[in-house]
Amino acid sequence: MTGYVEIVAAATVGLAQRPLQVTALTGPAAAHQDVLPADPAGAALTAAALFDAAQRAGGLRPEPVILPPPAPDDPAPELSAAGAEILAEVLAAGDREVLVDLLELAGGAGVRAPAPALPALLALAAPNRALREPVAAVLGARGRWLAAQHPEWRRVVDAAAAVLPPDAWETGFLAERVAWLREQRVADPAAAREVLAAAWPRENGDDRSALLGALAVRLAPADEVFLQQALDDRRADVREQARRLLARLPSSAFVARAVDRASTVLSEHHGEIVVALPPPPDAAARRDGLTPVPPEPAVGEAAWWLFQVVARAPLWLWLGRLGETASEIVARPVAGEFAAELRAAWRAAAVREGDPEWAAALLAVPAPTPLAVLDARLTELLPGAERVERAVAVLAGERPGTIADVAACPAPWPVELTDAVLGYLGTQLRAGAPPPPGELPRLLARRAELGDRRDVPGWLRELADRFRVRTATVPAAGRWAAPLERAADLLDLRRRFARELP
Amino acid sequence: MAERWSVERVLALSPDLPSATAARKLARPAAWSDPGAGGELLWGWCQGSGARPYETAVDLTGPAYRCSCPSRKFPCKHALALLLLWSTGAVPEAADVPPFAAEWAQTRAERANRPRGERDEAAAAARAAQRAERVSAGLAELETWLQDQVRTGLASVGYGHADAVAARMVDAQAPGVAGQLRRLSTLPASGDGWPARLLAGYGRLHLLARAHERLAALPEPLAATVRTYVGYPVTRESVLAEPGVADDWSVLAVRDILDGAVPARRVWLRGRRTGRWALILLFDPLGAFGKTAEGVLAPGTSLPAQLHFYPATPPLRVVVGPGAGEAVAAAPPEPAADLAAQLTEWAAAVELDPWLPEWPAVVRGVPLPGARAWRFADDTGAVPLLTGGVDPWVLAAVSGGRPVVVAGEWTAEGLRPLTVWHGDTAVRL
Repeated sequence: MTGYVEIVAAATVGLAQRPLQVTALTGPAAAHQDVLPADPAGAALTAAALFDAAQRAGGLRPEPVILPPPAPDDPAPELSAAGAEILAEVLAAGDREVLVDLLELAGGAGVRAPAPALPALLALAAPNRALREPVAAVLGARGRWLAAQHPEWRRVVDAAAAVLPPDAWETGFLAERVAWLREQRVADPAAAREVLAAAWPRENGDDRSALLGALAVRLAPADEVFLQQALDDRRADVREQARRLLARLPSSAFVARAVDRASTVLSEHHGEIVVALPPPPDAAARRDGLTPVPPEPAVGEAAWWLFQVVARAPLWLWLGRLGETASEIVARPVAGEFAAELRAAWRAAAVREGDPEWAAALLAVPAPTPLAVLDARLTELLPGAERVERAVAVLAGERPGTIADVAACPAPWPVELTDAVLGYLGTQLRAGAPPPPGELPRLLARRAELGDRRDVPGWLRELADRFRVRTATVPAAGRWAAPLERAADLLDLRRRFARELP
Repeated sequence: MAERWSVERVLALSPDLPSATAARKLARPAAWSDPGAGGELLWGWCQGSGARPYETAVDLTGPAYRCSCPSRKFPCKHALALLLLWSTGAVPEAADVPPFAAEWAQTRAERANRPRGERDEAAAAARAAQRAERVSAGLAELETWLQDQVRTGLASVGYGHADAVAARMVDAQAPGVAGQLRRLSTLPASGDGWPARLLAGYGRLHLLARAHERLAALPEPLAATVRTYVGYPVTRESVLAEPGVADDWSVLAVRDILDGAVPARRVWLRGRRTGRWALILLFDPLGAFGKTAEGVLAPGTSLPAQLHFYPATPPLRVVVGPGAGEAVAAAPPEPAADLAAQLTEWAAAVELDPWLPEWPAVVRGVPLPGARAWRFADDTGAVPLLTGGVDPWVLAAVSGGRPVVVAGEWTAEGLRPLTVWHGDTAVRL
């Protein structure tokens, strides 16, 4: 009796070298062994055909199995079929911003993603932190059950539920180790710092800055000694991270040094701010992050030294010294040539300290120097209502500004802002040479309040038509038509999706 | 003499714009020697780039064209130019038809006069006999080649080893065999255990060659199956002449096979009343299957139609008969049996057709993810689940660890899932 393995072995070497006369077969193929011809090669081929057919006919047999537990029942309703179609459309188009918008709408309504879309959503969210939370919010019990079975997808659930593996610190990804350290800081800041300090010498240079950043949680004077050591790290990003943290400790020697350097530089004299230029940074100042060479050739050395000294000083230093309030100080004239650098330095300090009062004051005065951070960075520090107010004024042409002022307004946009954008579009339609539309139409479509039941998409389409007609006289006007139509479609899509939610 | 045509009517016959332009340039008396017109026939000699002038003739009744030039355009610029020349009145009436034109006209007349059916049948019978002879000779060569492979040893063959013999099978008018050989040709590069897979493929071809030797002695459906695998053509008309099977046909699954010589689409169906399986096979060189009504069939719908089965055992491939209705949304199919019973059904099909590569499946069960291999289980046990070319996680997501209805194909290696039903919605995997 010959089996298939033996025939394969003989045929691999060749029957000429390893003769094999097949006459009887093993298994079910034996039932047909009387058709085997006498010649060895023909018999081997016939036997191969019989074994092959027997394998297809009987090779698969259900084998006993113990089924793992199924996914728990899901109390949350699944997104409707029509909603699922919209989601699939957006998934296929690959527009992640819009995807996040829809997922947040669905998550907010307590709806879970359709089961067939779960793998695509999890696969997108696994490597993309920005998607994890919105995806995790619509996973439902089914999605969490599914993610738990896929090694790459688990982190989507973990990220959302903040469930860290118990050995996160020893074996986790960098993000997991940082998260673990931050958790420990909440519970016991000193112990967490000790854990980091113990591991510090062995930590990879690339990870140190991120790990050090975890100390921002419950930062306290007790952390100063460790942070002071990090000021001498080999890597610039670690040193800068240590400076950022030390600057937040008012009692630290670091802040005291910054105050020392700055306090003699500015003074108030007869309603004017008088600048006494600082010396070039010495060794101690360089350790604290000041550099002697300006980052841009357009900036002079003296201006750069002044900027750094003021930017790194705490803002409270100036209150009482130069004026009573931020707006009073900012509005004060500056003697000499460094007014722009001074305001740029305060802008940097306001962003570092996240101070809305200084931000509002600084937005009112220009700071024409390459050292100044963008208005948008300051705008972000303002309360939402104030941002909307500013954006409306910018759109109406009542205040200088850019699209960044509009982009700084968080969703959902109130009706007044939507109206301001539509008004601005009308102004552009009448303008002699409208600038390119940029992101404005899309911002409107993504953030307009869905409760606004007016026919905004219809207006956008009508505007698009009118821009198109204008191309005859103003060729640049045509550039507005397509973005406006896309915005109308997007707004329609969001509204259609919202209607599918309970 | 026929009434002269207008220039527009002549140019309308042009296969493309360049031909029309070239013909206009040639439509001057200087380019032609001895053009003539007699009855419905035009002829003339046109000096081309070759040493001998081209012999051109046009039969106005077709119109039909003959020209000795090598152009593949039809009609060529010479025939068009001759027509143009005639339309302007520059071709004189002549009584003496030159021999080349007269012979051509004669042949055309004879062909036209012979009764159509008789002519076709006689020619078809002759062609079929010639083909059978060629195939037999080719398969005899194949058999010798197969035995040589086994004698000299599979260890010495590499990727592409069977390409030459595959080309020979194309010449021998056995395209089905050629296609199988081309697939076998790639096996030496297919990873561990390839000699076993290659020998199994050789065995199937050997069995096919042996069956073809005895073609006349085989019962008709089996003989038809053998002819299909060898690659004998079957016309759509002949299939449509078979009695149709009327039913509401559930569209179970659609699978595109894009790595073959010509992209193909399989549409699996099952009759809701008859319970019969059916397969629509579509080919399109560009993979654009949506051009036909069959190409847009989607799982989850049902097609009221008469299906005509290709002769085979078991009959599977079909042509949709004329007068088929619109495909409409339909409830999920009910699995006919459990996994064990369906495997038994497949075994019975293999007994009828030992070459059968796959068999349709509608099953209810639970997909089981695995790090190395997936499985699919019901009360009778678990079978391997093939995950190549599909996203098995969609299946797992829809299932949630509970039984779901899946349509797909049984293969030698396991179950290939193609469609899963999420509630009433069919989801393509």
